[in-house]
Amino acid sequence: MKANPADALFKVLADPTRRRILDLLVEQGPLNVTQLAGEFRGLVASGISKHLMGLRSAGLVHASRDGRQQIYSVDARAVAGTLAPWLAKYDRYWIAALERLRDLAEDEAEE
Amino acid sequence: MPQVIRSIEIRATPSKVWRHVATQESLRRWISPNLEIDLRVGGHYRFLGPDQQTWVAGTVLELVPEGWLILSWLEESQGWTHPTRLVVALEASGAGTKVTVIHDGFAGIGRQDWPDVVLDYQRGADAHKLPEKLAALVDADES
Repeated sequence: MKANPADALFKVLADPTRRRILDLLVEQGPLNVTQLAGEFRGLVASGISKHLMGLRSAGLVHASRDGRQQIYSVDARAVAGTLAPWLAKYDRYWIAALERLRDLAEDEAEE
Repeated sequence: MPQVIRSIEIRATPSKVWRHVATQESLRRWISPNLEIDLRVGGHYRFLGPDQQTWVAGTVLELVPEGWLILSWLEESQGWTHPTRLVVALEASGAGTKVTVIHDGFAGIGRQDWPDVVLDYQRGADAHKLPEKLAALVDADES
């Protein structure tokens, strides 16, 4: 079976540390590794870096250079792109389901 | 963050529209004919999803008659589960009802209720005996 990019994304998000990193980047805006590591007890910067690599390869997090530091931020556009096929499937589904609901409820209302 | 939001106007009162949400039999007629649901808060549900290949399962998170139904939405695909949330909300609109469906992808990230969705996803995963790595995930989160 061909790997779906959305599956890779969901798999990355299954890890609680990676979800927490994303939460922090959403709540606080772009952060560097040291700032992120300050939010985790018992996790050294290299551990955070490893999770950031996973998040980057799944297209969830974007890194930019500021002098000697990497600054990490949530890549909202990439997240949207990765999830687009998944969203399109449900968009079609819910449009059709709501039409079925409308027809059922209106048929009954006319009786 | 990505999510699906769709609304429709229905020429019937909210109480009439709610009849089509209030029972397993009525939900089967517009969501999926093979839906099995225990319609009370904490109750489980399961059905074969839109692609006719993927099983969708979860629990009832909120149920307010003539108001809204919120389900955790756990999609089992390629051995993994996608934790999302489905909201079906009714509101009076003129003489009729506006029904809105919100399907959160990861719109919940960074929001207050996101941990609850994830927790529910793990409970649901446990109840439906999904792969062992999910059980390991629950343990990791609780430690």
